[in-house]
Amino acid sequence: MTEQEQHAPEEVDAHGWRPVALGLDLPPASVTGARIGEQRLAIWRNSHGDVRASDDRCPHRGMRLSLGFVRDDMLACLYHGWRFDAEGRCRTIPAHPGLKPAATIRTTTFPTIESDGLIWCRVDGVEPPESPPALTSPAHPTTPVRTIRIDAPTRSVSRALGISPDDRTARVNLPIHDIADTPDDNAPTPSDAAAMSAVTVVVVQHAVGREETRLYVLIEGDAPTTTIQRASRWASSLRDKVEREHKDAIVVEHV
Amino acid sequence: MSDLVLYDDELDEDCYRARLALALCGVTARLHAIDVTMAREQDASSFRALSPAGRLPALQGVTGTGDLPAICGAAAVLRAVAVLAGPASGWAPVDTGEAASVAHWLSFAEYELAAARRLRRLALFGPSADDCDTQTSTPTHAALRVMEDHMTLRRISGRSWFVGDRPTIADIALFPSFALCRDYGLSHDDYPALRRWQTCVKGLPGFIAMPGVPEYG
Ligand code: FES
Repeated sequence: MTEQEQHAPEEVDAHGWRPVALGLDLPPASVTGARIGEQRLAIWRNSHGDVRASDDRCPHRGMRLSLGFVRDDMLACLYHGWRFDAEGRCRTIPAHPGLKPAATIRTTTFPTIESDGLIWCRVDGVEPPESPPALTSPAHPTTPVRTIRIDAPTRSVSRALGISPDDRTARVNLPIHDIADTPDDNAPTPSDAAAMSAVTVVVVQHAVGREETRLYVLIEGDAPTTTIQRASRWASSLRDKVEREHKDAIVVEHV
Repeated sequence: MSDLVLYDDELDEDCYRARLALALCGVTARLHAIDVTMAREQDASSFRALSPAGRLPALQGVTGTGDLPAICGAAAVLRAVAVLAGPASGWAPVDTGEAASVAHWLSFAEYELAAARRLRRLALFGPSADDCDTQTSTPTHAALRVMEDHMTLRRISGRSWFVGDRPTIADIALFPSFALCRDYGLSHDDYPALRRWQTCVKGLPGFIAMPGVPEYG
């Protein structure tokens, strides 16, 4: 981390439940890295589907646990194979197979919840009294589309999405009449075409750093494959547009 | 009886492409290590006789049907290995469309991912004469993004591989650049679709790792 990043004047909001991954991007028995404010996290899922979050730092030599892997429903460090259970306690030290690791060898863990297709985590130490923000009504389950990284500050993304910088969730009406770049056997008949002329895309923003935003893209309700692909392409073009505008803005500032 | 020799440098990304292709396609070759550090064996006249530009990897030998002239460079070796493996192996392209898409991604791996190979070489071995001093990760990011966008659409339509319904040499050509990008400080976290694909590649029978590419994960 550069010094500039450490003394970031712009505070990255680390309070409350923050989205750390799309559920489908974390298959059983896998791990990924995430970040909430200054807190780096290893988010992992065991073979039964349960999600855990741990400080992304191995107590042995400080290596990043998110570079490791999940074995026997424990998070294993890539470097010397120490394994940590759901509560963060070290259970196995391969170099000393007979040894039962002391209870004090552990990583810090954080609460997680999976809902609306997203994995949420909180690192503010507040006992979780309330649930993460509901994205849609329970009657309308979401269809996950993708995660996308944008190399621009969250305010630039908010501007492009037409929401205030404090709003973390945007709802975008995406017309789907131009989806047919590939002919689809299940194309709607003219009579349902009117009803299906737009879908609501739900975009959840997360500021990873000052110049880096992660978007979780979902669709409200069920959607056919072509519509999900359309929403994925829309997210790519949003990313390209925001990054271009952000770059241009920096150039203007320096002229 | 075939007898093939792969001229190889263990830490070189392109040589890993060739070793991985041989292992996954089930083609046996002896490895002949070329010391590219102090000895600069890639410039020795004996090696130049075989690979005139000094390019690694190089594959040469005798196949079941005759002599194999020296094949130099990862893309050429990958194509040769897929042919040597034979149609029954499932690694040769099945139709024209698939062959064309495989060619597309092989060319992507050669050109767009050249930036990734340069970055890694720079991070691991320091600058060499042909590196300009303004190396940034931007072109590498851009290339990995193209791959991520493609594999996101593939995942949405229920596919696991870059082309068609089974792994091809396109996957072998693209895999090392993603798997090794941590060597120069890029994280896999921003590429969930590529991470998912990486797990599929690592699960293929015959998969081999290299330093910087863990067996699991
Ligand atoms: S650093 Fe994690 S086990 Fe050694």
